[in-house]
Amino acid sequence: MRSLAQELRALVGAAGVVDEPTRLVAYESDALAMVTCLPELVVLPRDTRETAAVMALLHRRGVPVVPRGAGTGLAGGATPVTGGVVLSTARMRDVLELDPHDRFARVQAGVVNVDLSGLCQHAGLAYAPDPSSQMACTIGGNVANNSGGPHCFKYGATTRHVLGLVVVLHDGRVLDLAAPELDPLGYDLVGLFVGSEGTLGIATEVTVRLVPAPAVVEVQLALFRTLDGACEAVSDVIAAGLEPAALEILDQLTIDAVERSVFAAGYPREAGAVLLVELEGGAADVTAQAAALEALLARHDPLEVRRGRDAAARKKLWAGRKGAFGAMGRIAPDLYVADAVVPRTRLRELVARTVEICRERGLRLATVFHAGDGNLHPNICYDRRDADEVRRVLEAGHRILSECVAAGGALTGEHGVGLEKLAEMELYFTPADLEAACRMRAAWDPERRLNPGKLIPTHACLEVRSARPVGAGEPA
Amino acid sequence: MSARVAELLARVLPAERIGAFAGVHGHAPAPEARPSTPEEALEVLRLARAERWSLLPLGNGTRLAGIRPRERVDLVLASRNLRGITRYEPADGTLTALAGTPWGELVAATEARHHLSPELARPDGTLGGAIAAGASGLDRLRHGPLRHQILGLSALHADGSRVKSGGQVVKNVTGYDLHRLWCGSEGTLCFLLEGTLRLYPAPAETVVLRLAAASATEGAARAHALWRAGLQPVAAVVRAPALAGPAELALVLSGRAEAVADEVALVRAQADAVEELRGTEASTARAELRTAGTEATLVASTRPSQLPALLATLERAAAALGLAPRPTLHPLLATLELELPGLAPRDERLLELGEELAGAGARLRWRGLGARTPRLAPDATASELMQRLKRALDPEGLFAGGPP
Repeated sequence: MRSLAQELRALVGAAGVVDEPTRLVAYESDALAMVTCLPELVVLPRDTRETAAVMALLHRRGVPVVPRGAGTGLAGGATPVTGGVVLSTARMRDVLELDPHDRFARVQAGVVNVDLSGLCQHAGLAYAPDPSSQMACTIGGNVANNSGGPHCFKYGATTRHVLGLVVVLHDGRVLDLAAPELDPLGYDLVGLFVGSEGTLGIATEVTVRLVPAPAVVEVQLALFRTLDGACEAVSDVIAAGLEPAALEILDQLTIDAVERSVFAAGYPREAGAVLLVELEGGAADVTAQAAALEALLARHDPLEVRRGRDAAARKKLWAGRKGAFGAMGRIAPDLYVADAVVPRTRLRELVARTVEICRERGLRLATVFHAGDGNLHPNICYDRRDADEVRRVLEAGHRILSECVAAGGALTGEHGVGLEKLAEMELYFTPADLEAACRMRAAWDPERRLNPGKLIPTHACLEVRSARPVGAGEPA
Repeated sequence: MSARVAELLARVLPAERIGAFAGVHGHAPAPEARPSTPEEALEVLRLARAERWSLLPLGNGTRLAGIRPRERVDLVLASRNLRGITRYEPADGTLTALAGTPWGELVAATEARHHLSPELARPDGTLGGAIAAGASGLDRLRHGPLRHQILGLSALHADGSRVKSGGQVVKNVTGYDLHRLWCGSEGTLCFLLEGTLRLYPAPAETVVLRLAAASATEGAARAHALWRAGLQPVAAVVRAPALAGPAELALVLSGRAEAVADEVALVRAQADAVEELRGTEASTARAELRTAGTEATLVASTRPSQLPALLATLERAAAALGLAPRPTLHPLLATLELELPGLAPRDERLLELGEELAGAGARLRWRGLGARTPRLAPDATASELMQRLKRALDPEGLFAGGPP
């Protein structure tokens, strides 16, 4: 009998299968580096047809499948905790259709977010979701996690932009929902699939809505002495009914890291927080919004307000924010990027609590957050070689999530649950909620072989029990 | 059967919460339970399950014209007494209300500071009814359909469990979006209890512009030209008394005063005769645009670029069948609503017209055809998956009907 690797090579070609241990290491985790687990094989199909053939084979063999985009996820969603085969979309990189008139694009799942955005620019359009990892993350990965980004404050997360999908189901059958529909024909399978973290099927093609690029954009960057000052200004912006495209905050440790890195933006030493606000619209509208914003910011006694309208000036103002995660590498070897949401009215209070929680545990916290929609990213700097520090990081992460949930918030705003937040799912959901989720999932994947051990606590779905090692061959 | 249902209901509900659903749009009359708390609703659901009744969840019944009648309904489970706003946090821009709360009540509570989307025609329709029907409103072009406004829902599943999906914050990817499955499921999967919606800042200014056009097709073309020039209206609606005659394009512009001024200038730069309505005149005109028709209606949607071809097919087919539909076009959504005044729902020509439009690539929905409402036809794999979802969440078929 041929090995699974041989059979997969027959389907996708020699370059589409990875089984050498040294190359498998690259797939042992995503960007949540504290949990690693080697897959037994990696397969990289080139299109829907190959993916369907691969999935049919893995179905016959009873092998667990872990879908993977670019591996930039921060919650361990692409980490193969039960072994099995990682199915990567990295070779599905074609833009299949870009229709400027009807304002949609149909792309293969492995298309990189920033590449799609770049193509749209030529047509005067934009693909709105812009996760921080957009230079590398894929549209398929964005679908799996219902990804967000700074501009989702105005435009909404990925789910609002997905018009259609082609999904390969657990047994290799193809669910073709690619046509850009105004409303679903029957149950909203597309809406249900987005954010399902690879547990319902493999998205191979995605049809996305494009929005017109704004005529005028202005960025204002305000430097405050304290984080409180920046948070208060955000509350005022929302209360005033201004509708910026993005509202972002960086705290002092982040500012320090940025200033000591290649992303240095010239932030003054005494700055305790940076607030970045992007406005867009017609010329007269942006001018009026900008004047209103400047007056509002002035009431909170900023150290300085910088403004920029042309592309180069805006890029410079965004540089510190865009480089923030990279810059944190100067503080410690590893970064735990937490992700929680709080009601916007309790932003300041919960930000202060995250600072306290980390201080109590002797941890260094650098916070960057999407202030406009209450999405916190407390980034805890640590060294994974220090077991006690890892323990304290996880404890702090759990504490932060618990307090956010208790305040009426949510466990994750854009990173997903993955492995990282499995335990906390029971803080947020009741056993009945989780049971309903398991039943829904079983309708898509009765054997629960797709991304086992993710999203729903294991004891709720028992999916790991169904997993079979690659070498087990086909069930008798 | 009805008498026995009423008798058993009396054991779990006070008499004033037991009534009768009169039947409308082909939906048969049935006893109606009107619980006033989630606990009462659960008691009714348990009884129905024990008795193997078939349940039809209902709000105020304002959307039944668009829903295919069920083959069997033993009891209507109405949410109209589950009424009230449970949480409105203006500074947070979110609203939570019980499923039976009338839409007009939600609008009245929030309109001083917020715009509630979708902008629906009927204030007496309920939150739960709108969700179950997967509604969208006049402002869809700007804000999208109702399913995009839902932050979280809670519902009773057939096994009696109270299930939550989503939450009360404006950004949230925790767990599966079961609420997306419930939204538009027409009451075939659950009984909705409560929902949280996101709100938008109330616009400082609203202007309605009216432009005359030689025909509906020309009105649609003018809207598309303005769209390509950068106009982003809340709504663009072309109305005409007949397909061939003169038409009117109405543009609803709304937002910050400067943004609206920019858009008015853009339209005036491209059109000579523009009627500009502001203040109460604009409000009245906007309300007229969202008025729901009462006649049998066919709704066809396509891609914007294919709209002219669809309109040409429509003209040919309507003439050949001797029909005189009254069109309302939403050209930027590539959707046309065809009212067919005075036509009996049993008239075969309705379905023939639909077949012609479907042959030209249009997706169709129907209102007011009762039991003759054609079924939607998703592809076979999607259809099978939907049936599996129905069986997974409602294995005994407690809620009448299957995937819409």
